[in-house]
Amino acid sequence: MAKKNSLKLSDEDYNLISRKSYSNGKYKIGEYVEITNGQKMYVADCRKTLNGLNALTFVTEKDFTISNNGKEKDKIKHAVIVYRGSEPISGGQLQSSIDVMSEAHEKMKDSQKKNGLIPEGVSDTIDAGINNVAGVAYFANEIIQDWLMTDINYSVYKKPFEDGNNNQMVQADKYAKDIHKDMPNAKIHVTGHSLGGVNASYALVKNKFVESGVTFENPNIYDNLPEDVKAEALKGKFKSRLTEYISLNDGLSMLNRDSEEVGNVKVMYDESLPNGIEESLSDGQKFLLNTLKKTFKFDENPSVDMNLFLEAIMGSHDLSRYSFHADGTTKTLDEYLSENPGLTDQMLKQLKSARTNPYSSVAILIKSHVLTNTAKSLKNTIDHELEPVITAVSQLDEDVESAVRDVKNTYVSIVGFGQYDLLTEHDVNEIIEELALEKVKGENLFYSQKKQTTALETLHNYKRELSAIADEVENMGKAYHDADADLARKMGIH
Amino acid sequence: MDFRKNTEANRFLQRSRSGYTFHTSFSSLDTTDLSDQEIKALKAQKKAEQRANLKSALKKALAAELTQVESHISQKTSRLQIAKQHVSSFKDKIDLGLKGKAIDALTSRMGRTKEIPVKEDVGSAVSSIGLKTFGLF
Repeated sequence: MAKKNSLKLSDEDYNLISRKSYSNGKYKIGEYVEITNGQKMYVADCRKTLNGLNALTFVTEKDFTISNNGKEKDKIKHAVIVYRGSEPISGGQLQSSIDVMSEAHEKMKDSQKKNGLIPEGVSDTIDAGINNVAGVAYFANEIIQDWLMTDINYSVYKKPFEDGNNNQMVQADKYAKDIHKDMPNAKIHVTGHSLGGVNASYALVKNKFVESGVTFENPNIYDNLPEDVKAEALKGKFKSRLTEYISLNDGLSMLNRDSEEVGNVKVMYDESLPNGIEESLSDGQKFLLNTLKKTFKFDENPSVDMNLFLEAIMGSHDLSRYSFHADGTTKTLDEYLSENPGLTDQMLKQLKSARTNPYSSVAILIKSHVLTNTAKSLKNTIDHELEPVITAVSQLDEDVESAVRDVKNTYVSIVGFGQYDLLTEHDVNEIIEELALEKVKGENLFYSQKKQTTALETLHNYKRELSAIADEVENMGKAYHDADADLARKMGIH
Repeated sequence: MDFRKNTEANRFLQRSRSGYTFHTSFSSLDTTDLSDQEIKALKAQKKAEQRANLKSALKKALAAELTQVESHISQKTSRLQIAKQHVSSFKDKIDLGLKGKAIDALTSRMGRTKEIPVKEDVGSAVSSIGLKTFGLF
């Protein structure tokens, strides 16, 4: 039976493809990754460049077969371009890199002191050192090309992608165009994580032939876009095609979230709070942190949180933190907060630590939950704390009258006998009248009726005001959550 | 009847004032040696004493009962403080975590609820419970 040649990928599938694309072994045509429901996606094309672009094009098993193992690309109906992101750097790898470089540097300095020349074999020493430490060459390139050249240069400093340099994003756009040219009959989708998400987002906004994209924890690219694309983003043109999943705990995905948003931004739920990275840094990581702080002017971008940024570099923002529903859709913060109102406070802390713009969609999302929960709590307070007070004050007269009646009845029953044998009920009534604070309509009162009335009026006034505030808070929460198109354009909600 | 004379009735009444017959009933008194006038005077005097005793007893009983009522209502109305604390903490949470014009207007409105003298007025009503003779009002 012929296999159905259709492509319906879930968030979980995109997550798996993005995650598995980090494996170097996949950079070979014919390699495959397994996604959900036992499906396999085959590598039909791949490209690695010196500027750090790592892109793979996956096709369905059916497409791979009918295209003669990817050789007849015009037969391919569906293609998913995966842009690989910045690889996290472990402390050990970083320290090893630094040690190797330091040793070479010392040799160079000694040689220069002696004869002013760079000694022969220094480059060999570096290469040998690098080769002795597994992965150092690879990670050295990651540091330079991804983290320093691209993530910091473009995302932190907000340089335009189209700055005349053949950077990763420009290459990502070109790669998508090349794939479209090679596979003219294929519906093209893009995905990527971290810097890979930046590349995927950029490829999507630059090319209408890209049908859809799902990205994970990439910085907001709005500030890097050309003016005409920015104008389209402002109109929300990309939100139906591009979904961006971000995490409040992730320094990269929170970058530039104070700007207008490009895709439909959804916040995934990540239960871990930032740990405070500086306490647990290795010497190598501390070196990198200090170097970054000294070298780059992070303060110029208020959306940069150095700790979160460093945590991202050290590998805290991997794709395994995501969880999914049975249908493969990502479990979002919105859902968690609806199910667990108590988490709102924790999310507020994350929001503050991330220095998010109050009008960003992330902030709006948290706000809506904070407001909705506050409205519920306020109504709860009215029902369970204020109402009993109103009841108590309303019943004050009855309670007092009951107490007086009990005393009166006791004494009425003992007058006319014993030590009160000369007295009658009339005497009891007369004495009670003498002791009463006031007499209103023939009733002896042992409380101030005027003060009771005033207290009740004030209580009802207070309750009305709190109820009105609760309604206002609830309406604001709803308004934030169901923002209209104009609000959405300004605030990035869809 | 001249109570200034040292009659049997006067002596009896003096003993009554001195206390040891203070809480005795009139019917338990031996009035066989007294004239009708003396008995009438004694009865009036005794009734006045009984009334004073009753007033004192009623004061004490009412004061005790009303104190209990006041305490009970105070306990119930203490929830008002909790309600106000809740409103204050909700305001602080919104103030600290959120920003924006609508939020500012909201927290400002929440803040103004502090000006509603609900605690004072409720406290005043509750503490108004009492007796005239206790000098509360």
